[in-house]
Amino acid sequence: MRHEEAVAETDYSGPPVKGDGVALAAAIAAGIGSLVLGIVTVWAEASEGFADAMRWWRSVGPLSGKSWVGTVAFMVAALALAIPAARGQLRLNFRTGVIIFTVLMLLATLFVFPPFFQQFAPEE
Amino acid sequence: MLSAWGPSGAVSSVPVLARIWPEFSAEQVWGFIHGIGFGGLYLLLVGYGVAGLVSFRRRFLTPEGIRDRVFRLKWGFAILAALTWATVWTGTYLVYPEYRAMTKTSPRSVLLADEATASWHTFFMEFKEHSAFFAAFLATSVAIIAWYYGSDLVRNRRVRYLALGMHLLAFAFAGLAALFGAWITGVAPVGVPLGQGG
Repeated sequence: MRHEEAVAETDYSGPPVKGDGVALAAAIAAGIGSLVLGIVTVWAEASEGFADAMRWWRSVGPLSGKSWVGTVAFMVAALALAIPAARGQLRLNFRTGVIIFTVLMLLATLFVFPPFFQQFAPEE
Repeated sequence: MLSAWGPSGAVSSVPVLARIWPEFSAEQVWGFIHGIGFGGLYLLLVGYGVAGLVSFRRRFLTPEGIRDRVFRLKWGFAILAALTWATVWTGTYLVYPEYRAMTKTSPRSVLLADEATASWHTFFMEFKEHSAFFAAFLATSVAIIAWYYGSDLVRNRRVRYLALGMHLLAFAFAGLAALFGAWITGVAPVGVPLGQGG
């Protein structure tokens, strides 16, 4: 660390040393993981074949596959967004980033809201 | 020795737990660890995270205070994130198999058998089992922010408030999951034969 950076790290009266990118990347990654989990929830409800494909552990049922798909999506998104953001290669307006995060979380919540996703269940 | 993990067969034996709590079934012990242990501890510690972020301001703290608080913020949010993961994975893989077992006495079957209680599964459980993972994603993202920014959070008010918002949203999802879980357990507990619960 250069001397100027070391001083900036301990001078708490100055402006922020790090940009907003990593915070927005982490927020958007949480939104992507949640939305992917929401999408596979709707898909598994609509398609018995997909629900069977999500039965990675028989006793847990389709939730075993859905939970792993959502978790992996979150982790991949976090790495794919946060690393370039930390290097300054990914720039995003703070307000735009917060709006993207909010929209992702709202859609994800809608997709796992039972009265919504149960609409996609095939007629018996 | 406690040898059976219910009809799902997710865990064949839990002798250690049986020695510690011989009067409870394995399902009840795991339900307790999931809901009261990991989940309850997370809910208790949420206020710590809120207070830590809200009061992390330059005018409230000396440089020494900031360095001390950074250490506690980083580890505090890491522990909160770990607790959310421990809660969702124990819930999904150790408690849920017993809940959804294809037997007449499983909580799911008991709830669905009566029209008056069917919505406890079709709404409350269906929402809880998915949305609880949102809390884990959000809590992990807040921990990433705490570790990456560290002392810079004291200078960057908007990132601090973004982290606070995500922390509160994680709490909302975890709190709803806990509330629904407690309600469902009150109506149809895991690990208790039909007629002996609630």
